[in-house]
Amino acid sequence: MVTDGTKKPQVSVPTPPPPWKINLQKYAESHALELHSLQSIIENRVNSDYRSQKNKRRRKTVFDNQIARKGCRRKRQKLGIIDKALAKSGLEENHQKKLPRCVHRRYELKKNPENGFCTSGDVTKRLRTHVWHAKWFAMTKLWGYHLPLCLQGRGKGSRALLKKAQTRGACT
Amino acid sequence: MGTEFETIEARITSMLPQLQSECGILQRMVYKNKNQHRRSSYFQRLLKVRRDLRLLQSANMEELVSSCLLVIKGDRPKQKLHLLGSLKRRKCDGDKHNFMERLLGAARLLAEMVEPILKAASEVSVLFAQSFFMGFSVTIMALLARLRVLVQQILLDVVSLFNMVSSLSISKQSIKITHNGIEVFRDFYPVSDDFVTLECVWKSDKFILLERKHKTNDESHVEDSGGNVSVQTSDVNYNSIESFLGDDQLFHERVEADVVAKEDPNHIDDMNTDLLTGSSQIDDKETRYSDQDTTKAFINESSQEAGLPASSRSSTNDKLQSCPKKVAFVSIKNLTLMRHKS
Repeated sequence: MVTDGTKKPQVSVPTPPPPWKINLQKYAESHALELHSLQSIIENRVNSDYRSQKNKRRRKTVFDNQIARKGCRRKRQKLGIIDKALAKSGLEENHQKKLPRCVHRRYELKKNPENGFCTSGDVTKRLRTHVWHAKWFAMTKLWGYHLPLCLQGRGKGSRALLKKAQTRGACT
Repeated sequence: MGTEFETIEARITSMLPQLQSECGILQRMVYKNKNQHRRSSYFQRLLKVRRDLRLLQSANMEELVSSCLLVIKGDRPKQKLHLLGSLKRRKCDGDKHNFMERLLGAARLLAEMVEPILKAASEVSVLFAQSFFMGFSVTIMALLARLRVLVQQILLDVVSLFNMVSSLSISKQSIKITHNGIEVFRDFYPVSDDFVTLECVWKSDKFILLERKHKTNDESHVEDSGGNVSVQTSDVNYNSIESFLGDDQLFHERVEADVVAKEDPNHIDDMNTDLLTGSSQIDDKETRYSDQDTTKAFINESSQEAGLPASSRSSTNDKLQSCPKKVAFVSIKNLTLMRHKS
């Protein structure tokens, strides 16, 4: 009376691989009835309001990764605006010196008069190209004028030399 | 009944390969478009739909459906016995679930799959409204529409198969096995556990699965008589073999001896007569009827008889006097009760 209960072997039907290309129009037309019923269900769900929800919209400036790029234009514009505000308010030189060097240079560049020389803080005269020369050359004060020293390079090497020379007491 | 399950079988065996092909297309679409769309919310919804479909594939629906159909058809009696026997080991083996529990899990998954499909479709319809990525959105909408229809239809068929198999596993049945020209009758007796029936209710845009647990309080009587019936049927078979061999006189002599033995316990104990009369009626009706519908009516009649003991006594006395063949059954029970007492 004892029967041998053998389990049925799992006959796995080989599934055909998905098609490499889908003809979009034929595919949609073959599923037309289901599409219409699904469309009616969704229309009932969202009450014919297909606008995307505001909390799910993407940010407008997602392309502007400000944190990643430090030399970006928007940052300069923002700093420029601050610079103008500071210029208008007329803060002390101590606060102006704390500005970054490029902002400070731009501020100095705007003070050029139409004719003649402008004067610096200690009553020495400045050339009209003083801002540019101050960027590229080491400056010195000769004969009542603020003049560039004609040293080679942008100034990093020569300034470093001058610093070392001054600390060792070579100039005096 | 037969035609119903045949249509269900044809439908579900045609739909499962379609579901697999749609799964393949969806996975290919997700693979191709993942780099471009991966951060958007509609694509996240699509990934959830794909996750549910992968879960359904791992549930191995084709094996479950084929085992259910084996139980319902009965064209392979050994397989049917094995599967029905595995239902009895429901709570003992914790590590391995039987096919009914796996089918119940698959039905729950199918019921929960519809909501992510509808949410993904509503997100993609926003793309339609803005006419963004038209090729992608048309294909995905067609896919989701077909998946929704397939999933819900498979859920309905799985629920009806589950109910058929659970009703079969509750009822007592005998299965005929022919092996090398020898016929063997194997009896199946159900375990008196709680059983589950499933029901689908349509609510606004999808089917919701309801599970109802039924307790087998009424079947305790059937269970008590089940043991007696097994003894009785074996005796009946034994007598039939003697009649086949040609010894009719011995059979009649045994009947007369049982009739003589019956009178003594009736006079001694009055309580035994109540038990005997109740169980004898149950036995008689069970031997007569074999269908499932009549078993339900039988359970109702047994509950009615419990409420009216006086009428049952009078009816049994009349039946016993009118038909001498039923005396044999009652007398055999007397013998079994005598053995239990000693």
